[in-house]
Amino acid sequence: MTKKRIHFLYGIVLGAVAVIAGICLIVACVGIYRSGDHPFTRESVAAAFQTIAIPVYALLALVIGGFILDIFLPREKTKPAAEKQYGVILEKLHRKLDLKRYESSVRISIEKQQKSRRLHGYITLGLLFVCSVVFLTYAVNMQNFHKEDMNGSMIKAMYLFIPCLAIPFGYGVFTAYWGRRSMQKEIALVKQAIAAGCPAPAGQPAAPKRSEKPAQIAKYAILAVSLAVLIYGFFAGGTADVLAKAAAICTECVGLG
Amino acid sequence: MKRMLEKIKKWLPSKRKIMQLYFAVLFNANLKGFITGKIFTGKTKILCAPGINCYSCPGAVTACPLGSLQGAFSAKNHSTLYYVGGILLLYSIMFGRMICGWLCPFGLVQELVYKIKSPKLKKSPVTRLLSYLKYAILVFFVFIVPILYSIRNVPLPAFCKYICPAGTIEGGLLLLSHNTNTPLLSILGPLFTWKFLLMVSIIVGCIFVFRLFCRFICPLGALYGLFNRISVFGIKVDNSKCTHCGMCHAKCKVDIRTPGDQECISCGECVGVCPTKAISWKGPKIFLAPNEGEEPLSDKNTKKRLITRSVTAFVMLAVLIGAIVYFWVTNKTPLPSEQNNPGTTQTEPTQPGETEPSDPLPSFGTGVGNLCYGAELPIVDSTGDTGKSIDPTKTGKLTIINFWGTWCGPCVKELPYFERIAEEYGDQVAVIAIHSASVSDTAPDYIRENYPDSKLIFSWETENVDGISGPYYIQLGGLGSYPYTVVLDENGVILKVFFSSVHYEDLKTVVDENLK
Repeated sequence: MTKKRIHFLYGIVLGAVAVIAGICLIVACVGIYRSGDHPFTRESVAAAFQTIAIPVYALLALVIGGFILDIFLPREKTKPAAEKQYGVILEKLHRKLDLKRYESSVRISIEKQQKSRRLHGYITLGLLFVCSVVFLTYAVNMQNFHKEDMNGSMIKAMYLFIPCLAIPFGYGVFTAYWGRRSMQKEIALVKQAIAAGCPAPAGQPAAPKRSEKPAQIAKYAILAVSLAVLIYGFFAGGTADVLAKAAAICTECVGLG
Repeated sequence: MKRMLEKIKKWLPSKRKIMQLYFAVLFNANLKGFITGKIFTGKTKILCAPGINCYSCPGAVTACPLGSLQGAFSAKNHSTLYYVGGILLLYSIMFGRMICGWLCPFGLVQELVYKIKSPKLKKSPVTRLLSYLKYAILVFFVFIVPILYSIRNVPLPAFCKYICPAGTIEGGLLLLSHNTNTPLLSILGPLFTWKFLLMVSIIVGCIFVFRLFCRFICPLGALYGLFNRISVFGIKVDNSKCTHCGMCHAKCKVDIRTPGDQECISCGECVGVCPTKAISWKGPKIFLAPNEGEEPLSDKNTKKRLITRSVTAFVMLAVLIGAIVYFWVTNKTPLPSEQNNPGTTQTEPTQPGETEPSDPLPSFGTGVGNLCYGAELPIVDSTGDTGKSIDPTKTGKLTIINFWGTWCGPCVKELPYFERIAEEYGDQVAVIAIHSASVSDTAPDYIRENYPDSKLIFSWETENVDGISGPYYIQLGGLGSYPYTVVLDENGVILKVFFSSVHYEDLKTVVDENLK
């Protein structure tokens, strides 16, 4: 068995045990909560966690084992392969040909690929825009957030928040993979066009060099504003509330509510 | 020998790891807090740590920037928002997301967990899209919800309350695991279960995904990322030298498009792998070695730089040791070995039969069945101090003492329940709401706006023991958490203690049981 294989198998076992231990921990917590044994005591919590001792100990043993394995059978270091940036490759290839002067079916195919990518991009942005508007309309309505039932209001908001994120995200993933495939196809088409003798552009316009001055001005302006605001806040007594919140146990932050 | 040295060198932590560890210890320099289980309440907590570090951690000596920002929205004093906003803007423009890579204690935790050998999830278009999730979390949980609730006078740090895993680990688990805070276990409920599940999921996820929380969830990283390109320190790319070979992408573990963009945590790993040396550090020259292609330093300047570096390292070490010693000495909380009777706070009512027959009179103390300590507290109203005073143990009727603060979300939320009890039971029950010592000057405004004709007796603690709590709160056994409620009978004997929020039904049950 090769070193690589041993490390691979170890990784699989560790990954599986980590997930099992995590699930056991979650099940134990839910079990404690659902047991109705309220108020919780140190003893009842300890008793519930004893049932998941084996996977947790197994995980710890595997973690320690991994470090020992690394000492005696060090992993062979492989140089990371450069990631293919299809967008950059395409940009470089397009500099070598002038598609406008190339009358061929290949040109139509290239333009078709570009159009399809643009279309999916617009659809993703459109979905994101619509979902954001829908959710923000709900979120800025104070009636949806009750003072008496904060947790219930937040759970209700999540019923809208999650789909509003999931829809553009799902379509975005599709667009990303589609775009990748489309760019691979376009690269092949562009190479085909170059091989077929597509005319090169007459003169390559030099890329305009972006001035760093606006960024520098923005940087120092923000720095000055932040200092001014901070000093004003400090001397106007803004520290008292920060201290008040930080000096008491924030039961909300800890999750005690 | 040489081989051994090389092996040792391999095991030595990188500069970045040393810095991460340094700042994790510096921001949690109150080592005594880990032993006593009490949080630090000193003045240094007016400063916000640049990274995620829960201020409810027993070791924390600074405030959490996100918690402070959410709290600032509901602060009565608008200068709080200027102060916290100014700090965050300053951190952003100075360091950008370099803070995530070099200063954030929770980032260090995630990187250490990622070191566990296991199959790793590589970055992909899916992870790249997921990296935008943190912006949605920033907008909704850090801005919209806290602002909406602040309009209704209820502070709600939504991110801290519903998501933050750092709070669950540093605040929750470290506090709850200590004997002193055993009473807090009795108030755990669905919210803690949810946060615990989320924390476990994130930590397990971090074994397989590099910095899962930073990349996809952390709103602080999202905020800093907006300024990453123009920050004073960080990573920059010389586009004229870049050949788009993709080596930086291959080496980078986060979802960057170009080094130094909004996702870049400035770990600096790409600087070494760039074949054309197009990637370099940015920042004032006095802190950095000349980048490749720049004019090298003269011998004199090299020596100067070496001295500057040595002095900086020495000063940093001195600051750390000084901070640890300072916080150890100034923290007056007694160590468990110095306490006479640690962790014996009673919360459950003592059955009448259990009372020692030889000691029929209850003694003074903080547990149920003990005689409550008395104090002359000023009565305040919407104009401030009325000049009258009250001793909660000498009202001659059932008395409810509630410690609250305008800055505390759960306190503000439950105050109407106390008012309802005061109205329903009239002269049979006295309900005293004692505002925390700190920022009590905002209490009259709050009372005027929300309880103009209330039957509640409002009071505040004039003295400030540890930044926020007054001496009476401490004397009555407050653990540093708000709200805190104590119910006394007509003789001043403690009947019930609530270490966290109460509902109207809980109060009514206690009152009904004891009025019979």
